Amino acid sequence: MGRIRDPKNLLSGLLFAGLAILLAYNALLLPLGTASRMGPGYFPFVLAVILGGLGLAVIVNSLRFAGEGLSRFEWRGVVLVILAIVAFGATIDRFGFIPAVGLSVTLSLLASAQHRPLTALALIAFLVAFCWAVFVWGLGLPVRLFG
Amino acid sequence: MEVFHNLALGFSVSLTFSNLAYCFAGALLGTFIGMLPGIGPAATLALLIPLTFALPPVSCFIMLAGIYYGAQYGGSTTAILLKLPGETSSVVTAIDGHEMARQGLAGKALATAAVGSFVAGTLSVFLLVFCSPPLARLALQFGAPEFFAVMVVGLVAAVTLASGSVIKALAMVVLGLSLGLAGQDIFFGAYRLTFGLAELADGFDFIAVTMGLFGVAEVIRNLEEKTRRSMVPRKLENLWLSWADLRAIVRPVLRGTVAGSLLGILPGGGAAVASFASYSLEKGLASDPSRFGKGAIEAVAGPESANNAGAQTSFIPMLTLGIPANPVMALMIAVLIIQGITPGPEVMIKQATLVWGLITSMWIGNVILLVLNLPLIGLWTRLLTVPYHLLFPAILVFCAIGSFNVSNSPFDVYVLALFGAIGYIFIKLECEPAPFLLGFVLGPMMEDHFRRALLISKGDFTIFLTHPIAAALLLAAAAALVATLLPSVRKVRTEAFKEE
Repeated sequence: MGRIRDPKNLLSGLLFAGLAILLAYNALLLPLGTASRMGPGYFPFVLAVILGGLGLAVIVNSLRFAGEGLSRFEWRGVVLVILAIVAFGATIDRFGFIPAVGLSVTLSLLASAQHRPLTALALIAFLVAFCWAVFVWGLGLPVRLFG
Repeated sequence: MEVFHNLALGFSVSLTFSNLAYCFAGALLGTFIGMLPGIGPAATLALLIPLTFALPPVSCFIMLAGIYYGAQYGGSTTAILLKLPGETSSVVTAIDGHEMARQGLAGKALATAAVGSFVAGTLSVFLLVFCSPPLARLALQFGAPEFFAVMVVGLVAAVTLASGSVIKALAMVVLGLSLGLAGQDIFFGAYRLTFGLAELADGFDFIAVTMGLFGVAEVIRNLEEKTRRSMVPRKLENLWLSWADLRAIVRPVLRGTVAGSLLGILPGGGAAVASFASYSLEKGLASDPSRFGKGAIEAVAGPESANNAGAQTSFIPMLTLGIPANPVMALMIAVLIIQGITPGPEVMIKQATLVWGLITSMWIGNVILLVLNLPLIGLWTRLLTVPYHLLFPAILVFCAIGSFNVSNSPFDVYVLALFGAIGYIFIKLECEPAPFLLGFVLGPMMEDHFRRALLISKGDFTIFLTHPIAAALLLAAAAALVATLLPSVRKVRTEAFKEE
């Protein structure tokens, strides 16, 4: 066994093939029907089979031809950005618009290492005020501001 | 004459005060977005769509269209001044345009881009006016097999004209189609891919998916790049073109317009491909190709005309067939559906005021952009000095609020986060999100036509071959796919996308 020749495409192929199996399984839970009277599972199953075939083709190609390696995965950025969005969704109904925006902006600021504390605080305050002015005051988004 | 009647109807809609205001607002916002790297027209449109629910459909479309073609103008400004293309469609402009700027000819390059875009925009609006009605009339005779075949052609074209691996792009289309089917099945009401969640009964929200793939994922990717922007602080002078300049650009502009218009009409085309094609064309026709890359004015004039022409003619398949040529058109189709209008050839007849109001507003928008852009360039470039680390928290929180706004539900915000993460994985694996999104929009419509076709034929698959139009379209799609696998075509494709 040598090194994997094309990790990027190998992973893509595995992703497609894996999703194809998941989608095919989901489609088979529903009645397939026949071509003249298709059930809800028919078209999704056909698509899953095609996806599986394409996934296999990508895997085979990745074993035949060499390609570039994966570039570094920016974990800090991914986790904090996703967390910032999820935090908005989780807090908006419980705590209101202003805490949700404030928390979301704070978390997303942590994703970049280029902030100084004072400018960060100023930016949070500015964005909370700006979002309130645009979405709540200007566009009448029906949300509670606090609580 | 029909054409004059249509134009008169259109201008009576687009020249009202409120619609002029929406056109102006859209063009202005589009220019701004076009210059900001890191947020493109697709994410911006997705963000604004929930805010336009209350508008009448025609005003909504006028503004959204303004953002789209405004972004083509804006993208070229940063491409020329900073070598930072705001949009993919201005990637090639950055090559020679920025070289001209470095030689002190920034004003000339910007004027070339603006004039080229304006000429191309005007000519391609005429194409829209003359081509759309006959195409819609033809499409009115289409039945289920033909519509299915048209969608296959559209998706295949999107794949072959995309850069990168054809097989991966095809897989992305199929994946998009599959996830687009999530939610209640229209024939039987069965729940598909809902994982037992009541919130998924209507499928993944399209707006949240788009903002995730094109907004959030882009933000994460941009966070990887620690580069700072370099400014061209020089004062801009001489924004006018001499007669010699005009003579030099007239042919590239016309050729770019033709190439861009044709590629825009083709499903899967649109602005980005058009600009690449025009660059290759101009380089091939030039008496001295070695000037390209060193500030050749044709290399700015051609692609800039082509991307604007392509942006406008991509409305043709959207309006007449209900087929999106690119993610922005996919969003437009979603807006049609949200506004209660069924996409397809009937739109041209039943929504005549909408269609002609939109088309005429595009020409007005081009005038606005020409007048607006050149004098305001100084102001625009100052806005660009806002560093990215101050900008991206705003983009993220706007996306979160925007997706919440769709139906006041935190669930759509989680969908946004999910597709942001998925989109970042796609970027890392070099799987293009655009074909995925086209599949996502077309999924339910495609299944509908597939089912109907086989219901008519009682399960006989040869219906797609015995209907001549459907057979011809499917044959064309198959030929296009086979062609991309041929070594000679593959070489040309790699060449064409090499400039990226």
